[in-house]
Amino acid sequence: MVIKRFLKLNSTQETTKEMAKQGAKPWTIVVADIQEAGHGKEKSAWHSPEGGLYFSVILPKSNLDDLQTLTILAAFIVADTLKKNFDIEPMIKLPNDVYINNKKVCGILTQNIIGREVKVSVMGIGINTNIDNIPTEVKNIATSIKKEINKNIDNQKLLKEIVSGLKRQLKIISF
Amino acid sequence: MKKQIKLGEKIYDINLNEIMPGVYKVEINDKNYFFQEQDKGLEKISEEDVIDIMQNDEPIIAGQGKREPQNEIRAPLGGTVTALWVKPGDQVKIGQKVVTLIAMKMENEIIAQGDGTVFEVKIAKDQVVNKGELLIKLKPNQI
Repeated sequence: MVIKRFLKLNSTQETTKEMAKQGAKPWTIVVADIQEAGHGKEKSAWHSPEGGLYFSVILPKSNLDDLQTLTILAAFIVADTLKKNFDIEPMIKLPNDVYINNKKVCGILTQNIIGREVKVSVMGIGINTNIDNIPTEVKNIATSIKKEINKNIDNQKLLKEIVSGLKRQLKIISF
Repeated sequence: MKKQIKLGEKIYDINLNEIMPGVYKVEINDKNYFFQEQDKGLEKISEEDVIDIMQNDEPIIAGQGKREPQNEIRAPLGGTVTALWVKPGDQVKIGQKVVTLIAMKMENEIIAQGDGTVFEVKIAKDQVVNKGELLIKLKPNQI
């Protein structure tokens, strides 16, 4: 797994998609400490201050059914990893959001470029890990793991565990 | 590069090959190990990783790549059209984004496979389309 770290990006998803278009290898991961224009589906904003875990990963070429399944499974992988590491009870809002105590902590977006077949697939995952201040406008619907358990999270460890989980699952559903 | 090394009483036949730029296969007594060059040096990778790396093909850059004659673009999957990037009369190039479809919980950019002129756009924004449905008619350029 190749991890490219950046202090600040507009969006890990946009950078990773561009890298994939230029021929970067599957399982290349782009992670940023801060995103200035982090986004979910249809460019909906994802608040991305320092402390959170924001990354995108180039997925190996797979058929569309497998990619759909993996997108849904990604939420389970994140929830499972959070539960195992932090003794919390995450909830999954299908298909691809993770909640703690009825507030969102993680969003997942898969974007594909399709010609005759799938050319590029990039999955972006944003997790509110060590975020102390949730903006007022989303305070009622979003939280961070740190706010919930009052502990700092090792973002790098979490990143590696989630990507390893994605690899394992893709192997299972693809063969 | 082949080499034989003796460690104590054991003899190891070692064969090192660069199988792709930055990816190395090391054979030790007929067992294969793979390594990839990364920022901090070589990292061991699995055979599956190598297959994944090999699957990756040519870059997608609008105007570059292997052209295919294409007079229509169809939906590769069912979903909702969230953006139309071309209109009748537009010139499109291979690799150029023409339609965005949200489908199966994913955002999908549909790209052209060849160069041509948009003859007819058969869909509208927010329209739900089925897999295989005609999205755009093209008049292809000569290859």
